Amino acid sequence: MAKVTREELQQIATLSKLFIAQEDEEALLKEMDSIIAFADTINQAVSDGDTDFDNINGLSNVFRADEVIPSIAQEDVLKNAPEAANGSFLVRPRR
Amino acid sequence: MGGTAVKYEIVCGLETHVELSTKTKIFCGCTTQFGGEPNTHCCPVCIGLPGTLPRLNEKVVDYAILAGLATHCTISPVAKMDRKNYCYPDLPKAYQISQYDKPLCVNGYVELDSGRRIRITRIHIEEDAGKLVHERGNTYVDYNRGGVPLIEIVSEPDIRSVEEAREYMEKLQLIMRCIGVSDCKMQEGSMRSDVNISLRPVGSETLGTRTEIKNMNSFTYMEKAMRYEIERQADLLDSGEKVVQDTLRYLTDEDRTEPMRSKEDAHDYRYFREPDLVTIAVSEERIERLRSQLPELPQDRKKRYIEELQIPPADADLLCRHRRIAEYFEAAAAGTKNPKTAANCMLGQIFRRLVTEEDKEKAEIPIPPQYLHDLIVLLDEGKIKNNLLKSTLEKMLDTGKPASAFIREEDMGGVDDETLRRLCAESLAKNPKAGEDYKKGKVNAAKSLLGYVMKATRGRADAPTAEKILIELIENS
Amino acid sequence: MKTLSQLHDLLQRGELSSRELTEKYLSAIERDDKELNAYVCVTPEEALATADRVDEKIRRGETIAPLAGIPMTLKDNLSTRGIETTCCSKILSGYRPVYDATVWELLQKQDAVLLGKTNMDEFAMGSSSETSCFGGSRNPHNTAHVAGGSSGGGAAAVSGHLAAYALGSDTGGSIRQPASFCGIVGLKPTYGTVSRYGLIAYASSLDQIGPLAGCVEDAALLFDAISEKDERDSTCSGRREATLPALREDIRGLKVGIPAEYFTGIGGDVEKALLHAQETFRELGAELVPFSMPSLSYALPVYYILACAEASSNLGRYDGIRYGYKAEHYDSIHDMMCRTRSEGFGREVQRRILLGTYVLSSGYYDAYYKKAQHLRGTIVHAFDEAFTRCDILLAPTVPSTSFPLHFTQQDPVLTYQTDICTVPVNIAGLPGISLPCGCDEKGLPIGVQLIANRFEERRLLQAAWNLEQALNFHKESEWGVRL
Repeated sequence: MAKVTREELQQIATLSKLFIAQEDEEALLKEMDSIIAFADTINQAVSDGDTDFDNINGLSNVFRADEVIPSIAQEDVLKNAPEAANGSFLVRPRR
Repeated sequence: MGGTAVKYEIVCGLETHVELSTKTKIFCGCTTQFGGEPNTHCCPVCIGLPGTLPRLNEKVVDYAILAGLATHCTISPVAKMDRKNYCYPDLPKAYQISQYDKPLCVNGYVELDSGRRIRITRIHIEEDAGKLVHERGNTYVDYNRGGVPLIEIVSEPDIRSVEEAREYMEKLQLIMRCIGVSDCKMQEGSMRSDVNISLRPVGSETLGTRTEIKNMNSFTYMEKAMRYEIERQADLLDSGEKVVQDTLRYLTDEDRTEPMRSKEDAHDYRYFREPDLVTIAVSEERIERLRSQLPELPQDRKKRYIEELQIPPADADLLCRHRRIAEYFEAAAAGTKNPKTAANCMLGQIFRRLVTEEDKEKAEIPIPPQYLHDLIVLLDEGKIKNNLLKSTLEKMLDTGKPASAFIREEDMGGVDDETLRRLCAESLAKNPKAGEDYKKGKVNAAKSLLGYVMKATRGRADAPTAEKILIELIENS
Repeated sequence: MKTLSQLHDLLQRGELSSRELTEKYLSAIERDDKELNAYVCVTPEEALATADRVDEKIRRGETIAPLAGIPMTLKDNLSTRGIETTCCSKILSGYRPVYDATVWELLQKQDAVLLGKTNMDEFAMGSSSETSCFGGSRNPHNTAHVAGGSSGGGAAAVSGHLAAYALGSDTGGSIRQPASFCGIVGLKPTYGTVSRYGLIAYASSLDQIGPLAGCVEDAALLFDAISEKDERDSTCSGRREATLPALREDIRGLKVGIPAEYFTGIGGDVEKALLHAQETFRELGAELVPFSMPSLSYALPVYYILACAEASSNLGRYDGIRYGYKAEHYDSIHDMMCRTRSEGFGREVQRRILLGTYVLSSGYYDAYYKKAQHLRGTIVHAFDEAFTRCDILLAPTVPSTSFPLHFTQQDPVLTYQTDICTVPVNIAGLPGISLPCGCDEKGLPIGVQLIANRFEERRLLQAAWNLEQALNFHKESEWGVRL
């Protein structure tokens, strides 16, 4: 099992859209290592070929008919937006 | 630039997104209508409110299968939906529900006019993203388009020229419109392609490093972008440099490409099965039901026009470009002696009134095909002449009225010999001077005599015959 | 303590008004919740308005629904229109949904009285409710101990008589574990019997909503009330049959499986209480079937890999654009998203997002996610096999009684280990129930877990009801409402 490198941690953080502060890096690396070591125990399991998991109840073909359901009011769409303008969600630079 | 000793071969594949023309979005009941005030075609599901769940629109599955059948694909008996994870403001859930390793359709092809087949790797269904508008540093997000159903058609890298890329796209557009799954309006973004392109020395079998030009939604710009990119790559290779694998955008104003993503957009889509949706099992019955709904495809239709209707290939091509045009033509031509007459009417008088591609796609023709059919039958039966056909058709198209509104009963049918002789004699009697002049060698004098006859028969008389009779009468007088 | 059907009868007969009952609960909350911290939001106005509506119906002589007028609470990850729903995370602070979760819709149709939203671990990630941005809930049996998690608030509220019942969610034990810690009944239904629409997702293929109740009969009544097919959740097909009508049937001849793997490392009072439960089953005429399920040894890492993978995707949407918290200062959209998420999510949530991203990322996908998904199949298969030999399984709910406060905030892996007995049920989509079966020497409750095959809630609740009656384990607490 490989240890998580600093670069990997930063790469995962970027993918996760999270910042990892310099001072947190060390502690987080340790935690990740311990969690990954724990996760890695599954690789001691011997695979048996025929048990791939699909969905738990084996359901298929649950569909919706192509019929219009009225949309909600623009006001409700934007109701929880931290910022909105022109009927749109808004992001503007703030330093 | 230029002067290069090495000749390159273009290796190109397209990933084409086609917006499906279902009434509602792929995972909720919101309308798919284009435009609208921002965020008015939205609901908790398509703006990704916490706790909401997707519900798959069955029509999307059917349309994708139709697209697969029309491009000779194998339809997968078992398909599933997956999540493609990436964070971007236009993607409200931070993942796009798409299909990864079990797409609905695989292994098809589109045949070009040259007979070359561009293989299709796969067709899968997925949701569209919302729209971002950047204005003075602000970003406005509108999710009306978010969740509109798309199919992504992925080709093998079988395309070898800019022209082939265009033809492939045109053919796809034709097919999708023909089977009615999309209007493929490029200007509205309902058909757009990512172009993967690489070069290799002619004769080489190994693939060069490719770049991907994103979101080409115009034939012209696609050609320009490809030409630019081919030249750019050739220059790099000529000078011994390496092409960097990259995602590019094409800047229309500057006619050049530039890399799209910055470092912070590192991408690793971390696909995994969408746990909120169940398996899609495509039965034989479903496939057969959809197959039976397939109309004749443009390629087959064109072949039939050329082989069975003896329409010249170029004309057949124009007729088959729009399903409604082709259907109109066939309805008008059915049972007439020569389908070419109907074809000429379509490509002449009718096409003059359908200026843009969009007009032709809509095919809003003022008269029903039956009117055109009736008019052609009059010609077939010798009841009217070709010149009358054209002028009458113009009048019909102007007014939306049938031929009978312009051609009276007495206009129809030929003029029998007796009547013709009588009218010729009448003409000569009314204008004896013309007869004299003709005798004196003024050949044109006969024309004025003929004019009388033609006028009296409203153009029905056969002019050469009438002229012959007139000359005979003059000479015998 | 009164059962829900007893409360219903009192209300229907006019011997008790819903307003009276609701006010009692509200004042109990006022008095006791400062200590228990079960509620993160109390809605007295809405509660009393509903109560009055029910009382009016009764005055008019109408027959009210079984749950009408009875005060209850919802976990803070269930979407309630107009009522703040935060998952106890800073990142959803101020979020007032514009739609109702299906379960809440079903309960509103019955005129249920919502007292408020209850505390939980942030995004249901935790075993003590201490990862909540509002701080943890305390155990009514001993406030130096946690109520458990993640549905700790709901369990504390029911146990402390601050609500007649609660709805929680269970992804890896989040209903059963706090029920066990607080000495009440917690049911995690079969995956796909209760609609998840409106349940803010942690791990979609494992999450299931269920009741926390004072007794098995209440749990059965509540299960029947919420297990409807829902077209808004494609994975929800509803229950197969109602459980309440058959609840009191005897269980002679029932085969109760005892899987050895669940009992490794179990000792002391917990072991004693569980042996007593087994013995009680035998006395009730059930047959004990000891057997082994070796694949269970991988259940815990399989669970954490899959749950975190799904969570990393489910939690991507909290980006400061559409709802909830948004960072104050930033340079670009990317910067805004990263700051919002780093400031808005707590440490445990960030850790699980990172782990989930890691196990799905190229290069690690096969070794972790794919392998775990495969082993999930193996575990499902092992349970299928087990249920060919027995009707239900008996196991501990948790290897221990409730943790002291702040115990779980040290080593994450050590904390994960405490979920060892609850996660297999989620992995296999099975129904599981925890009910009290004893106390340790400190007076902290011990729970026994019963597990049945998918969609066999009827049999599960029958067994649980029979066991409950035979154990006659009723702990009167010093808290809450007195009627």
